[in-house]
Amino acid sequence: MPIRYDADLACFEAACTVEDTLPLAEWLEATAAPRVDLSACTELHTALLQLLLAARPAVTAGPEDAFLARVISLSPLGRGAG
Amino acid sequence: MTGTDGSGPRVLVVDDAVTVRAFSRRVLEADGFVVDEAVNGIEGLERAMAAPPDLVIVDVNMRKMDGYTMLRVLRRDPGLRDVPAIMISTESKASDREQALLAGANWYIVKPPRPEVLVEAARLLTGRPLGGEGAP
Amino acid sequence: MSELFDQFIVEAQELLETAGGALLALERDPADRASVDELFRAFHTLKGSSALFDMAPFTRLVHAGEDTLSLLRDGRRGMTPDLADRLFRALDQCARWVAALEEAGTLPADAGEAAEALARGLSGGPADGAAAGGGEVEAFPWVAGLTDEERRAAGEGTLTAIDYTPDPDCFFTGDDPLALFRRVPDLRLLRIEPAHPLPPLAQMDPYRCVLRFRALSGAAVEAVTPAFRSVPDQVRTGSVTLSPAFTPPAAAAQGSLAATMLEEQTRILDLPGSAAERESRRAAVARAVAAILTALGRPTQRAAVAAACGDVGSLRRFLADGPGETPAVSEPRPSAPSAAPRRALRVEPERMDALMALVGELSVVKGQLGPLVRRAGDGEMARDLKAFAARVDSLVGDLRHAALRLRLLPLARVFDPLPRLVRDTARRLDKTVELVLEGAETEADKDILDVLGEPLLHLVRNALDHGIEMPERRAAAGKPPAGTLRVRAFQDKGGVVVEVSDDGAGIDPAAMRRAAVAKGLLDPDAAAALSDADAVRLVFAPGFSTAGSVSELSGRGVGMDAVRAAAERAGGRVEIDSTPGNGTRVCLLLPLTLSITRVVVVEAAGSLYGIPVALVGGVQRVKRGEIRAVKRAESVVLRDRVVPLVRLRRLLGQPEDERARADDCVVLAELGDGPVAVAVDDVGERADVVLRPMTGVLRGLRGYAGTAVLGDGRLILVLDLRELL
Repeated sequence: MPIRYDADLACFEAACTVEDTLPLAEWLEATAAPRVDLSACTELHTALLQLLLAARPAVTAGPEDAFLARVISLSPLGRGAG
Repeated sequence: MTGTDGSGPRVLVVDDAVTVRAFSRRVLEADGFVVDEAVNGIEGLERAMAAPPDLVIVDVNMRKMDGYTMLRVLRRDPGLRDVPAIMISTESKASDREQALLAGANWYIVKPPRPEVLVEAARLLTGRPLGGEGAP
Repeated sequence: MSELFDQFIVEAQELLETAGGALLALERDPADRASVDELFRAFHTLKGSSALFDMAPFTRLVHAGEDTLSLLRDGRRGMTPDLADRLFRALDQCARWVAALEEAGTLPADAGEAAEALARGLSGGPADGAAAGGGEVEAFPWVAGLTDEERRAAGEGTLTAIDYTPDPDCFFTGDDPLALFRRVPDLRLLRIEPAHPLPPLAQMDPYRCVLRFRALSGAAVEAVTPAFRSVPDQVRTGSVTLSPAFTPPAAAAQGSLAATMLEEQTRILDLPGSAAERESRRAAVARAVAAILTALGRPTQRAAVAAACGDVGSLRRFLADGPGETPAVSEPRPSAPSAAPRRALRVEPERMDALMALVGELSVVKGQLGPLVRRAGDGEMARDLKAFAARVDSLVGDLRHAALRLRLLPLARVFDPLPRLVRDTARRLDKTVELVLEGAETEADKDILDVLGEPLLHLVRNALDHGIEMPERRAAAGKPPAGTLRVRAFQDKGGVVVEVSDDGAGIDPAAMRRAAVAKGLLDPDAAAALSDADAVRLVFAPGFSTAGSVSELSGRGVGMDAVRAAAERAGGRVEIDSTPGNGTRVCLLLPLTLSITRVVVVEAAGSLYGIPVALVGGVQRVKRGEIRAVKRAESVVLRDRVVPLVRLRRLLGQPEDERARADDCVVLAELGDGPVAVAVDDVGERADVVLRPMTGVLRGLRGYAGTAVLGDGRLILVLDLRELL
């Protein structure tokens, strides 16, 4: 699984695909104050991004991938995470 | 420099835009400066000669006499030639900055100035301690 | 910041006005350097001032204007009527925005797009073809709304805009829209936003794509499109041109401003220049460096600094031990004495009105002093009283004059819109018109100016539309191809006169007579009996000039009766004279002020009435024998015109004057569509009165403009002759 769920923290690793959509949606919905770690994420499917934009979890670490880093930093997620 | 009587350094703001003058006055007065205004280079020189300021902040484009000319004349006046000067302009090109320095400016600020930038520059060029928030 | 904001509003209004005037002058004479400079400076100042506030589209537009003007100034672009149109549109837009800012404090939501469209129009370049410059920004309206930050990220020049709204079901077909952007070369900006507001997570279908992507690439369109080969139906690309961002990043960024400033001072020492220039720069640098060091808490001997400022190297060494990061102790900040700026005094109109009313009352009360003095007889006290009354009299006169002057404004206020109106209308009609304005400094009461504005525009428009002919026709008639429209204002016997004259086709009285008959306003005999002047005057008759066909016949357009009505409502009147082939002249005669009306006092059946002087063309005695009567309809020949005569007693339902008299006292009233002789028992003084509208039960009475009290305290009714007739 490219996304590891650990209580209120989800770690995105390598290529996160559309397969992760439903589990992520359920986890985001079930978690009171979700946090995500995107540092190891190399690809983020649009469906996942859309969920993140809707749920606005705290981003504990931004992606190292340059393209994703830009996407996240320009989104409300990036601004929220300081 | 800072007056001994408790009044702050005198800044002469020369700009033909009343809004910009009012903005500078507000920002600088809030920081304890005493602000004088002039609407063009000629009036700026007149004010400066009448009461030499501790700093002049000059706009570039003004009718009657522009900022460059005013600074050149200022620098030729024995009593005023060392008065620190900031040139302020909407232009951000390096060549505009260069022109300002050539005319005699000590510093160049692009309009619109951020209040804290204006205050910090004015404090530095008038020798007022920056205070806690001013220095990085 | 609201005071500052207000200041901006006022400044912007003034600048826009100046710019409008300069643009008109410049269009007339493209070589007019002073106007180019004026216009440039206006745009430039607006740019600087607007940038102090959150109104990026405004700044964007005036910046584009400034750029255009700078090209004009350097001769890299020429003035054309088309470019003038664009600049006028930009100024108009700015004026609307300023109005919106004044009203609502913010620019309207579509400001970004409007600014972009207008700015694009301005940068159209000499060719001005649709394809030149600009690109297809209107296809990507969001480009105009970029934040400063985004604009900086995007850079300037020609970019490729990408608008990608994925099919909501695209996830099922294996698309990953975000991934496609990895393949976009030179991606400058990527904005990802929900196409619709995102629903709460619980109600969201995670497999439906609701995002929309907008991006800018520095690569050409052809280089960008391959990335979206799989979704051609969901993506739009096109090239757009972005002008440079106008708010550059703060100069000092993260580094210490003091350090950068010190570095700059050393650089200044190295700048080229004459020995004298370099010497004075050195002096300024020495003082600046000393000040900066002091500010940093490292006060240094001025002499030492000055010595170090000999050349770059020594100043560098002098500063080498690190231009202080040493935090200084904060000194208590003295509060500066605030100098009160001098301002024009603004007075609320209501207070002004109250003052005028009081002055009016005072005049009336003063008038009652006269009879008192007379009653006091001849004693010493009476003499003193008389002297005192005379003094009060002159003081009240001065006061009234001063109060009146407070309300006076130059007619320039109503003249100002005319050059632009003439320019635009003439251009639309393909006519060439020279506008001559005279007497803009003439003053009139603010209320009068308010009344005057609309009719004046109407007259000017009419003259352009229907008076002045097309250039070919003018040439054929042996006139200069350019028509002349003259608007002249001057003061005349206590009132103000505004005259609009043209050298156009004029009005043909014969055509007017025919039209009046055709419209059933007059029977053929009555029409034939009209003098030429009265036939021309028919344009003011209600319902006469409303048909389009008339304008072709008469050379006059619609709504002249509205002009007449407005003038009369203000206690004035309108006159017209025209010579076919030579032009038309229309005069608006208005009182100097609305609150004080000058009336001719007349007597009928023992009561006093007032007739506004503005309507009175003359007063004279007419021998009974000169009055012709057909049944009860009487008429008299006055100044070579047959004028209907009415008797005020009859109009007011009073008994006929039984006294045997050799002649009648007649007031000639000019009522726009024709003169009327009003027979009265007697004519008295002319008096300035404060007109009070009828109140209470009197309000229902027709035929009266109001009541007024004369200087001696007597009450008069001021007649509204038009209504009465």
